Amino acid sequence: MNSNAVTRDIVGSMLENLDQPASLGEGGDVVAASGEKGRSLWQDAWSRLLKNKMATAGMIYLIIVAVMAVLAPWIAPFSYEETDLALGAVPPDTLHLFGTDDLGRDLFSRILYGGRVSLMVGILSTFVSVTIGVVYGAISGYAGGRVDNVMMRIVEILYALPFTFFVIILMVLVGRNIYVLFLALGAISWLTMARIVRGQVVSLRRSDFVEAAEATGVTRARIILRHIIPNTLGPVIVFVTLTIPQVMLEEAFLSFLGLGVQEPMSSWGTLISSGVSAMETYPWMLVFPCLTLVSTLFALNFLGDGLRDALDPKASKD
Amino acid sequence: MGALLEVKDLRTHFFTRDGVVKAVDGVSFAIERFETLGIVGESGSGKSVTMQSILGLIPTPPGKVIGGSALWEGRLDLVAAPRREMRRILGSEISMIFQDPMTSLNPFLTVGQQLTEVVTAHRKVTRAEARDIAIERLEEVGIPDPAQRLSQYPHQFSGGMRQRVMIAMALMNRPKLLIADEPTTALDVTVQAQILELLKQLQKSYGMALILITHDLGVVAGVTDNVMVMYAGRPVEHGTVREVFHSTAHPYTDGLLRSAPSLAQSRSGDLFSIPGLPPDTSRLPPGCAFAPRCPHVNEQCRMNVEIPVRKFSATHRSVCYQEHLP
Amino acid sequence: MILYILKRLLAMIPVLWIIATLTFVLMKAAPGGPFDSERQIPAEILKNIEEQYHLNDPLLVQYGRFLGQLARFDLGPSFRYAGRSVNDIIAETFPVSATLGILALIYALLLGVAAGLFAASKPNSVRDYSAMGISMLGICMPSFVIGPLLVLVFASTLKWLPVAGWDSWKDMILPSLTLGTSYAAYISRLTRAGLMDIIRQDYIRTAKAKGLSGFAIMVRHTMRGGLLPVVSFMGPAVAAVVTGSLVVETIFNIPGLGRFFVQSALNRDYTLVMGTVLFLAVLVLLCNLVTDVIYAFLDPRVRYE
Repeated sequence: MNSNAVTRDIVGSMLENLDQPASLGEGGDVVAASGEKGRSLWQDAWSRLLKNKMATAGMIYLIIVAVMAVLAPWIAPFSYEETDLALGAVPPDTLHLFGTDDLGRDLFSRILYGGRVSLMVGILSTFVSVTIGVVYGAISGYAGGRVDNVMMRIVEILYALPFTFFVIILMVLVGRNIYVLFLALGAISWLTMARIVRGQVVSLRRSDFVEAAEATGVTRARIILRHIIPNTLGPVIVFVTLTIPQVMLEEAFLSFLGLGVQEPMSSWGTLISSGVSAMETYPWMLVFPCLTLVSTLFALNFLGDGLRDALDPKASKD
Repeated sequence: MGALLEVKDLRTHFFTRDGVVKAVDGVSFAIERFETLGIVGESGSGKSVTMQSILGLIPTPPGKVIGGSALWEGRLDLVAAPRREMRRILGSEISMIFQDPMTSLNPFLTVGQQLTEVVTAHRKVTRAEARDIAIERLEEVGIPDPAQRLSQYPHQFSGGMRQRVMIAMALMNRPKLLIADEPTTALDVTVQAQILELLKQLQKSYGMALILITHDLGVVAGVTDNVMVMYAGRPVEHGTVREVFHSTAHPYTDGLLRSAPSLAQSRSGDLFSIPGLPPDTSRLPPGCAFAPRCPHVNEQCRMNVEIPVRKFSATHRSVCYQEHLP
Repeated sequence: MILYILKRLLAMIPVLWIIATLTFVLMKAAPGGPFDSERQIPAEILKNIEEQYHLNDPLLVQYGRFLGQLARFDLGPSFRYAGRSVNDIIAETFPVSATLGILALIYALLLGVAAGLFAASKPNSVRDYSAMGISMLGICMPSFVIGPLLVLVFASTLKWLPVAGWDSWKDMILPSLTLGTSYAAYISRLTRAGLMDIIRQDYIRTAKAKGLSGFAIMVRHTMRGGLLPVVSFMGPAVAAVVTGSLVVETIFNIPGLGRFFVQSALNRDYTLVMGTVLFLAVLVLLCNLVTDVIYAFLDPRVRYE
């Protein structure tokens, strides 16, 4: 299921509405309303976000999951790698909240540690993709003309490539190195980001304050750095929250095929993978990792949706 | 038989996150058969919302008609009518054309499809008959090669031509009342005059009543018999064009008249404009809504909730304490 | 239009060349060959084999031969399945994958469009929120979660459907549901968003002012434009289904192209991997082209030179 094409497209369409920067939109009423209350656009967006119950719930849930994953070495009740073959697989009880796997390892602890890997993959890969996407998109949009044309043509061509296959080949060839995984996943998900940033930049470039900066002789690099990138922040934030779940899915996908993280390290994807092979006899080994992954992705998507609505009031559904 | 359409105390409010916007707040007027009425006001004065409320075209939510009535031919209250009844009348007895012909035509359907569906929705006719009517109407609104144009899409027409198509569409069933909502605002100045002339001529040849909504008093002067001036969701002055233009009673109308640029003024270099901004209809002052911008304001304007209606003739009335303005 | 299609077809050639070169380089740069994994093969035999597959020629010669074969649509012999060409293997396995993919897409389209219409017919109501909540869940449930859970419930526990295999129509149900569900969820969101966008348009108000019925407005005026995003999604969806089949075919042990690809990648079966990637790239590019052409037919404003 989770091909890049779909992930790109989901994020893309969710962000379509953000083509126009909210701060410059012709929604005079919006600007006026926030001006009256003397609040910045960001404060306004924040209060709108807090009004969205699902998004707030998602945010709180994510914070809890992230904190627990980070603190795993201190709060995990058992080791994630020590096996206890004598114990074997036991169903959930008060000692082992989520039960143990067939090697006698505590599943709750393994999920906590797995969260570290899954979240790290999500965040680092997204960071890679945002970096590439923002730089590429900003240059393309700012340069304009022929350079812009060529650069966007390249993006279009890249859209058509079955990237997941390349990542699979790559993982087979370099031997499941987790850092290569970060890079590879990041390198395949920047296309939509580049498009969004380019769209923003093109519309910003024609705006008064950038023209003013140009007229006063500020260098191009400086204009991109000081004026354009800060103004594309809103869409980028939304993109980030929606890309993290896509990348996490991709990682889980690869781990499921046996091409991601390796034992004894675990990610949620590898836990699901081993859960599948044991589901007939020990169903809890499948159910708990699935619940964790799906609920986290759920929370991330709701937060992303909420952020999009909060940052662009005009695009909010009615 | 009474008036063609009689509107009484119509109220339409929009319930938004930032409060209740009283877009239309007590509008009453009547229009007779063959009459032409101009409704004038700044944007946000509620003139479009008034007509859309009567026809049930208000987006609900957030909008809602919360009171009043609109009696059609003395027999049917359009505001309370069941949807099915309403649909029978829309497009056949009453038609409406909108401001922006660029967005008011469906880009995915041919002009022919959009014209003929108005006929087939209301009458039992064959496709060929509907097509003949469409060709006839296109000819009447001055579109050359109508038969060929039928199979084209809206984007293949220019702005003025599209507005002609909209007019043809409104006339498909020979309505008794045509409502034109800012029909020329989105068009080039040269085209504007043509469209207005066309409307005027069609009103006569079809013998229908016409309500022309506009922000431009000049447009009204050339086309309609009567004028209603609206401010902040209420009518402030109503009369024949002659009365309203020559014995202006309301200070707002006076302001509108004076802010229309004329040759004499532009030569002297001074352009008049009404001081202040149109009001936020979710936070109106207690008294007269125009009071904060009115040059003739006094205490009672600000305090009294009900401003008396002054009648100057059978047709001319104004909602203001002022006597005739100099 | 025909000129446009020809242009697009020609433009595919450089793209495919890039893909071919990329896979070739990746494969050659890989440490370890296809024949040095499990057991020790005597040096002479290995040499023979390598000679047979021309693995000892200079890289450029190999590259040239590879491209030459491609130009004749010959993907070469498989390294692992002795005596069988990559073309044979694709010809044998692709119909299976295609059947699965088409079934999944039909299911996704029917359910997705229906759910989107259902939600958009009464925006911001309970039905809207519940439909969109469920669809969000569908997007968050990857196939490798849905698949095993479906098996657990319908095959292992209820015993209504087989656990795995690809012999009768019963075998097709669970894999198609697994593969299609997330697209159904996504299509429902696209449909809803598309329809909501159109409902806001001025021309819908015009249609209302004409006295048309709600049904006529929905079918004639709203759906045409509202479903365009779904149409343009079909190109990427085909690519996505192809990728998704990797996992679904593995879960359900289906002898399709996806499972062969995973195995051949793990086995370092160079030619099979390269052949599969190129074949799928062509498929995806063609589907994108078909999507664009259909789109142009549906939207009169879009015309290709």
